[in-house]
Amino acid sequence: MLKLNKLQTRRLYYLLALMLGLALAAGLILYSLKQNINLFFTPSQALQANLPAGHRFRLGGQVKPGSVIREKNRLQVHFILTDLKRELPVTYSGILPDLFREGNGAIAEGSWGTASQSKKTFIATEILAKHDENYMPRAMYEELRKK
Amino acid sequence: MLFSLYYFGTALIYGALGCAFLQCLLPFYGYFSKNKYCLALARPCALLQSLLIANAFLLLIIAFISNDFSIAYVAKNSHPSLPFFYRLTAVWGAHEGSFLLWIFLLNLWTTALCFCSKDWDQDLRALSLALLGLISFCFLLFLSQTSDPFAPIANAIPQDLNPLLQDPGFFVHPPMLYAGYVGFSVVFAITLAYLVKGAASSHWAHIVRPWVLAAWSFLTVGITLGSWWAYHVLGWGGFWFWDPVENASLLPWLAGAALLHLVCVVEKQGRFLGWALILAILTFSLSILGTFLVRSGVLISVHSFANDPSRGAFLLLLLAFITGSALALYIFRSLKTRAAPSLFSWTSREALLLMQSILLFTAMATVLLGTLYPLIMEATGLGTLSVGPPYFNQVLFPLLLLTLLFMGWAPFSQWGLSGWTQASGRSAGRQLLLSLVLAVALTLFFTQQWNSTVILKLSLILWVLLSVKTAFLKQTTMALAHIGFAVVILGIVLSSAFSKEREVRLQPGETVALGPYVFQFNDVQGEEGPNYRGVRGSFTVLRHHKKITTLTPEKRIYSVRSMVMTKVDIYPGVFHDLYVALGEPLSDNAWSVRLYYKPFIRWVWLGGLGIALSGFLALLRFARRQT
Repeated sequence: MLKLNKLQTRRLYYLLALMLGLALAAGLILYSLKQNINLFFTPSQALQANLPAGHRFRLGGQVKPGSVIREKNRLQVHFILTDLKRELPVTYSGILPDLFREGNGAIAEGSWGTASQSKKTFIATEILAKHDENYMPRAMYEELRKK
Repeated sequence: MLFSLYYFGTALIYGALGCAFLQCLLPFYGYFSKNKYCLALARPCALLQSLLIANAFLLLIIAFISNDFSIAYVAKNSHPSLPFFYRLTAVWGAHEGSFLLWIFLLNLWTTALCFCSKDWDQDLRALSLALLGLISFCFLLFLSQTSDPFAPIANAIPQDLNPLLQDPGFFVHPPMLYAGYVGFSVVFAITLAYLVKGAASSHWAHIVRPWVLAAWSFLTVGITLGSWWAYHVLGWGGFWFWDPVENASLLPWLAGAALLHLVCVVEKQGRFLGWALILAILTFSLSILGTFLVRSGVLISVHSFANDPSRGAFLLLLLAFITGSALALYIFRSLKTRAAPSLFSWTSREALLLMQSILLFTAMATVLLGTLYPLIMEATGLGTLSVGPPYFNQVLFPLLLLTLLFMGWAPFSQWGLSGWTQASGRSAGRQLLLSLVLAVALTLFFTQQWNSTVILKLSLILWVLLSVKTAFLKQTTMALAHIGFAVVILGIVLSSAFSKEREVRLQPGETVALGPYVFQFNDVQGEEGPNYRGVRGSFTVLRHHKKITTLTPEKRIYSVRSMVMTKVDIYPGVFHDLYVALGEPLSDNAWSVRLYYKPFIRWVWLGGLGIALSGFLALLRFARRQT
């Protein structure tokens, strides 16, 4: 049997406590990371990925010029996000950020609506427009550069 | 063009580059060849470099004041119609200028070190200056090669300062934040100088402590002001968004706080030296990482203002080089020295401080992971994603509870083996119980609801506030800092639990209720500013049919960049803020309007300033003890 003096026992406890703490922390972190990541898609990627309704993700693209329609007497807005290949209708209820403009880049966070499967609509709960008028998602930028 | 500022500016920067080179090289040569004269040259080199950089910085300010649009940086960030005050802030409004500010502040810190190190060992002083010279050299090289603030341009059209930065808060926030970031390079330089000499001991902690304190206090002010700026400029009513740029400033703050707690133990008891040295190195690395994250453009952030991907590579390389070599040196040194084994009680003060530093370090690591995770995933081709605020809130919540628990314990603890006595245990238990009862009573009285998370958080905050009074006379600055922290958390907890917000469509004459308040939308009028035009709405706020105030939020269009900006109006108060932001014009004269009721939000910033103030107070006492 291995005999340990007081100092060594103490070191052993340290080590055990440290390992336990680390394992616990890592577990908690990975769990909450898994819960709280939002995948980012361009419209074509989003259509390909085929996520179920209610699964949150971010959709980034250009606000199609001329597509923004406001509902009367409500704060409901409809517009189309495009990556110049595919287009997706987006519905949002609330106030749009200052830099949200037709022709500019924007990111919508939300999920697929449940309504009709034939014509997919993205229900946004949050619209992010970067504080820089020249912003566009990287995938889209590369798409544009190819042309 | 012959006498353009460009030539002066470039000459100054290259001059400073030369000085930095000598400031780095001579002391190292002097140290290894035992040449006293070379060692002594570190100080004049450093002072000359500071003088040159100060002049370069002044030159850039003059360029902005005199509207010298032959300089590309000025043309990109200023305009003849820009008010004088904002021309000053435009100096650090974008990448090149803020980098010059970074280097300018580094030189200020270096100058401070020159004057505060008179009674240090000559080797130590020269080596510290040499390492600061090395950092300065790297950054000056970067500045002159990739982002020259004095680069000339012909026939440029002035583009005005980003309207978001046209705010008084922006005058103080970046210098304070950078002073904090850069301050940790002094800590790093001293630490590395000790490691080069191979003589790190509790004396290191004694020397380095005021510098940690100063840098960390500046960082605290910077973060607090940044949060306040985000609250009243971005127009979303929040004070913290878990945005990568914000996280970048929080990382060195958390590591610095961990270091600060540990340095106390090293200084007083000589324990945990190795861990403290690693923290000192990491804190500086995190400051550089912060600069990298903000400046490189690798992040999609709501406010990364100036970025260019090509610049990222340099900063990342520098980061890897500095951290790698420092840690290698540390490992090399620690293999040779073996600290004497020491015993202490698990309830002693050193155990507590160690625990606190581990908690703060863990918090830092989780924030770092959440911030870098999207980057790692994208770089390895595993997809583009973002980590949402819930991650940070969820992970930090248990850490925060533990931190508060230990903070409340702190005043009852003793150094060494004695640790926890029965009397102190009983008194701590009583306080804990009292704070729990108080929290339940307060929550039930004010909200008439049982909200267990709020009660839990509130009782721990009260526990910190109640227990700290025993330490108030003996450890005033510690007590103040802990009170400040508790106040910050109180502000965060109460404002996020009891905020009310509404987004509505309003026509002139209509009213909307928010809690006990009624907002009446009167009208919208046009207005003209120096470099913008816009509209100003008018809202009368009533409570129980009595008028409280009139709020006038604005919507502005800055003509040069044709950028739309929301200017919110706030009715501030100690216990609550009322906050109105105009959304967009809709049909029939109606506007979309955002209204917030934010209880205790000011406490977040008051507490933050309190923490910083206690840091400066401690510094003052430190200075008095020296003389």
